[in-house]
Amino acid sequence: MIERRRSLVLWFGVGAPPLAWAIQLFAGWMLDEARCGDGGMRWGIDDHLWEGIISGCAIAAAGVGVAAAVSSLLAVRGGGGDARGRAAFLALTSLSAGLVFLFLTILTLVGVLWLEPCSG
Amino acid sequence: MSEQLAVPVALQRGRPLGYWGMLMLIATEAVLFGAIIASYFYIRFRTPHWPPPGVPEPKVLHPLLLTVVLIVSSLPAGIASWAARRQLPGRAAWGLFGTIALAAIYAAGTLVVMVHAWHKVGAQHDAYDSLFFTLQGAHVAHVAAGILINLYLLVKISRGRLTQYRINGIWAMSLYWHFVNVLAVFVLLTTISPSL
Repeated sequence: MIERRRSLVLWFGVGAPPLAWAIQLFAGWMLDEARCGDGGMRWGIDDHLWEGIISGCAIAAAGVGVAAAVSSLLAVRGGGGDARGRAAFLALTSLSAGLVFLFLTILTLVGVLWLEPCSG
Repeated sequence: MSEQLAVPVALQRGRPLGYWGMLMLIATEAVLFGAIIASYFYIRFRTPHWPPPGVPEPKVLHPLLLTVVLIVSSLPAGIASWAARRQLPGRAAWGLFGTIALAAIYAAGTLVVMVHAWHKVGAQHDAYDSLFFTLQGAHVAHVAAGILINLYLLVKISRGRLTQYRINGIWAMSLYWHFVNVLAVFVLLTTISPSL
């Protein structure tokens, strides 16, 4: 049971940060289309509010993913890995990639809050 | 020949290759439908009138009931997978039969809706119609493919014994079926969105 939980944490660390960034990017783009397009302009969507909510959730998910990667790496260093070193490899790569994706989600939020919507 | 080469459940390490193969297929199909749905909303957000003037708003009740029927079919599909992995061919066959029957109701009902819509405006009138028929048609095609494969598995396990090869097939098809049903919710919400 513990091994299964550890495996889930490991895969969460691998998948959560890139997925969070991808969803932030896609949802943000669709929201902008809805806010600025001829079809959705009359709905009066508050771009900054919704982009902030989406980005906040994405940053939280990516942050938890990085924490999961750190936890997996510590567990592997403490002797919780497998003989072939696959868990150690995944933990290390997920931590490296997770930090990059966490940085990207934060940068995207800064851009969203800084730039005026529908100005492109 | 492949049936004799299959590794028995007791000797398998992890999940069968068919399971992972099906997950890969589901990932590609998710991207396909994601692209179609994104196209729908991209064009919708840029169009002042949706649906365009002269095109009736989509009906809600009929597609909603059909989707509920399809979602219920996840239950017999799950039973088929559960029974097959426990070497219960009778229950697995009933599960597959239930899945096929419910899916057939959905497919037939959706085809009626599509033919009705086709006679009203066709698919070449504007982008709205093209997107509707592409999205709904692609989903019904996936349901039809699932019906045919489930039918094939049903015939196979009814005639012979439940080999590991067939168990893996039913397991993988059950995954596919749950995915198609989740997809049905997104397709329904997209197609009826102008009426909401």
